[in-house]
Amino acid sequence: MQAESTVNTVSVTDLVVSYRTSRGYLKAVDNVSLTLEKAKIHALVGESGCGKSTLGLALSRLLPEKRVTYSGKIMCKGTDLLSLHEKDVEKFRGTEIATVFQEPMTSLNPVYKIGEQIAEALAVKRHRHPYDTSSIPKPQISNRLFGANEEGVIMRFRRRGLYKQFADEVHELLMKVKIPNPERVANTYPHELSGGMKQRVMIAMAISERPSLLVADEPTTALDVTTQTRILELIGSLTKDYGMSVLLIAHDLGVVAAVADYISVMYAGRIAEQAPTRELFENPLHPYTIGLMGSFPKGRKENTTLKTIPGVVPQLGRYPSGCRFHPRCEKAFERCPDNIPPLIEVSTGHKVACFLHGG
Amino acid sequence: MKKMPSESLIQVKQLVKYFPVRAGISAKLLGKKASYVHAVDDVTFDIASKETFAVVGESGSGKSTLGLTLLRLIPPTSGKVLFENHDIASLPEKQLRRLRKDMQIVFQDPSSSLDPRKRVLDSVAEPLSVNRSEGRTDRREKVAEALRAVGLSELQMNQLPHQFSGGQRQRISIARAIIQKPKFIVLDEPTSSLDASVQSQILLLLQQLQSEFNLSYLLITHNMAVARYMSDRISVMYVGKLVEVGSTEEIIEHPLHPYTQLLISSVLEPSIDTRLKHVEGEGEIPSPVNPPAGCRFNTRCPFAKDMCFTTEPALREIETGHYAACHFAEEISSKQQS
Repeated sequence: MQAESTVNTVSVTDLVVSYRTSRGYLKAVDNVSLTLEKAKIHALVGESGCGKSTLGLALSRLLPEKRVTYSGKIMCKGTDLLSLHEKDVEKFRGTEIATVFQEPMTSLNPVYKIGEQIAEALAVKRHRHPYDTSSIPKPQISNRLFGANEEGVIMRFRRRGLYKQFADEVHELLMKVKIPNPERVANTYPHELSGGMKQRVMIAMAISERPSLLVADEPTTALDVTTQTRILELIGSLTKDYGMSVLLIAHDLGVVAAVADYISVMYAGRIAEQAPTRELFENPLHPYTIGLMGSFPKGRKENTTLKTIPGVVPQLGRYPSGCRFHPRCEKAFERCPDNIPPLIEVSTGHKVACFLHGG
Repeated sequence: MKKMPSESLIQVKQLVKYFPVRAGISAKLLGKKASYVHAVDDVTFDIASKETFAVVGESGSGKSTLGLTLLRLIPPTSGKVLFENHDIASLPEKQLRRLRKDMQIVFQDPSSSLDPRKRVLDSVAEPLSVNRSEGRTDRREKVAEALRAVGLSELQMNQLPHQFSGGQRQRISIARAIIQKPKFIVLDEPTSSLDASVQSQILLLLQQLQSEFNLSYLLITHNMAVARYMSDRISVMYVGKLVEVGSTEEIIEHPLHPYTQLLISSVLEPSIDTRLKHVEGEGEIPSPVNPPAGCRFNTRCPFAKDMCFTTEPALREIETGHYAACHFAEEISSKQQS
């Protein structure tokens, strides 16, 4: 994790993200450190509720600031994002750190054409002031009553104008994400496109400013298996072409095995194990990682034994003491319920938080 | 499909389900012809008793509609479904109701298939009250028994669904399906909404219940790995049609249809050998409203020839018990053998 700082685009150190709830502050992400290297895909794997999406959102401070507290460091281009004023984070959002979400249909606006939406994103990122909203008169009460929304009308024209202004760039971006006929697609509405195409559009928007880090939060979960491999292929090739780092958030070890260079396994808010992809699959050490791998049905029921992890994934706020995996762990012993296992480097680049392996 | 009339529990013959597309007023005025979603289009197969028969396909292939039509939860457009030689598709409601306790279904998302305001007891016992068979104490006992069978405690009977995790909720809906000791269960994506570690628990549970109660399953899934693990035979569905049917081993080891090959190569196993290899088969599933002429896979098939755009290939037996609907299935088969 130390040294080689020149190839790191973003590094996260001792990040804690807590949500303010009626039961007090709950740590969704607890002391996580990650290094995201240039032109590499770092995968973050875990089951639902383990804090992986919270971490992804925290990287560009997209969580509601009033209800969330951070501690630790997120270093990007020599700046600690957590020390910035909320307004200054804007300079990083979308331009340095871009995010692609799981469900492309909810990320796109259904009433605007694809081209207009991409153009708007471009305009926002370029100038940060696409429309001078102060010059637009506030809608009158009477207008509101009769359903006319001047602001909406003006925005609509602006969007069309923006598409004309940025048409070439929009088409080029769509080509980059391997959409075969960009002119046609730019003129369609989101509902006319398939899930895979929509996800490509989202990726096109995300990479428009050549960000140093792309956070892809379950980008293929809502897609069909055949489309999934296509999108992973695309993310893989863009990583190389653009030299950006990618944080690929997934719940599926198979997806991760296909493209990741480095994997972090997360459980109940903490990192259980971190290793380069080959090392992790050849030599998994944490019982949780081993359990996850074993629970994939590899063959037929007659000749394979399907392993399971007993129990259920703990919910935020009900995390067990000590090692949070101990109630489900077959190998748990006296130390586990009372002590938190530290993340220890057992071989080069391979870290594990388990008392069976030091600590 | 397979000739074993004595053993087969369910025979599906030329089952068709079309949904009409509601036309707008302008289309009606212009006198456009009504169009249909060809959700299930001439599907024939059978399921033996104690067998797991998997239907695999992408979203929009019609596999869930097939499951629902099979149980007449939606009425079929045409075709027959013989359940122990009773035609479910044409049976009067009253007689059908008596058969219903032998046929159950488990849906994908237990949080929407369980009533959030009903106690587990009431949800699980509902099939009993529909069939008006049991008294009160008997009912509690039966629910307790069903809950124990799916690995839950009978003490949780009075709780509400939100007090359970996703995996436990799926166990509850399985308990509801088995409470009447059915012979046949349609499993519609039973593990798709679950986490990996929980998915394997549910798969093992289903397997154990099958041997305990001598169940037959129709397993609907998009996940080839789940189908491979669970099933005795696999069928592959594409835009309303079965394109390949065969024993699990045959389908996995010697897939004949290019679409099956594409699906198998899309399985991403958690192992270091799973680096992405580029597989041919661009594009996405076409609309079932206007399925392509000829072979329905022709828009994506890397081997498509002229013939594939004009003539629709029939589903035919290529090797014993292995059916495929591709014009070149024989060719592919002989290549694989040499």
